[in-house]
Amino acid sequence: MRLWLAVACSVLGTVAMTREAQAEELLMDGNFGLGTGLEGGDPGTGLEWRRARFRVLGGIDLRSDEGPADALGFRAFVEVEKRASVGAEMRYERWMARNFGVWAGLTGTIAPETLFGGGFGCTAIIPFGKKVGLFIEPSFQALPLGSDTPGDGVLIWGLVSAGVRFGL
Amino acid sequence: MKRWSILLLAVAMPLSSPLACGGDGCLRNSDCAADKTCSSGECVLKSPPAPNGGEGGEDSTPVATSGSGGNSGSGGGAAAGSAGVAGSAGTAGASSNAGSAGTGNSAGEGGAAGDGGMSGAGGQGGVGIIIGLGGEVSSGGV
Repeated sequence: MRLWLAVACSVLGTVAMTREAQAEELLMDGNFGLGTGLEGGDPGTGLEWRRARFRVLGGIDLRSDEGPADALGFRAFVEVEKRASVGAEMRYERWMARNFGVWAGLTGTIAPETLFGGGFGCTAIIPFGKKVGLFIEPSFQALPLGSDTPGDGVLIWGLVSAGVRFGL
Repeated sequence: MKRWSILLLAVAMPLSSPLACGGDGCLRNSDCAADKTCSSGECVLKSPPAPNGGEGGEDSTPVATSGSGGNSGSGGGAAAGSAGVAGSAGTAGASSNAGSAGTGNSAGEGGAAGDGGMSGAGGQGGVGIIIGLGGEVSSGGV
């Protein structure tokens, strides 16, 4: 009887001292910025370069608090010159430091013509306080697929984007 | 300072190129209007019209005039002239006129009958009749 009482007390004590396990928390950062750069391709007359269309972009980065170095980023952008086009991007980000990361991903436009390809880049953040910062993001992308490719070739983007990054 | 000038030049060159945004050239199809496509750096219509503006369709109504009969041959010295060839018939059933008979000479034979005209659709063929003057009566051609 004394033995059972001792076991029950120890179980109750263990349960009482156990704290509620914390779930994995998802960290989210928002981005809003502007971008442009160089755009190249061969429309049938040789490789041509020109200024890339000015674009407005926005998106979020998702990462776990258990592994904040790895993140998944989503971007949507609108090219606002000539015929405006709408596109999106999905990327895997690896943050080498708190304010510097590299990424690679898939990108494309869906309207009025389609483009699809991939690229890589890096992101540097200039922090302004705990949750807000400015980001600058050079990138390189090649888009060989879609109806908007020059002469059925590859469209190349060398872009620089900059804007505001904020914690959500 | 010189380094910055070179950098500025390198950045400004593509921006000032005629192919930059705002220029007449194109690199992507979406640089052109919706009804155009980018071809060899120029915006061209997706389905250009025929060079002559397209050919007109053929008249579906056939000409309904009948063929006229041929002229008869003139009589020879001793033989009758041969009849002319009848004209072909027109459509819509108008038969052609048979060729007229050749005029025989006083002592010659009758001319050959003219060929009958080809009948048109639904029409009857023409019948050639020839009578040699001064000779025997020739049979009519069909």
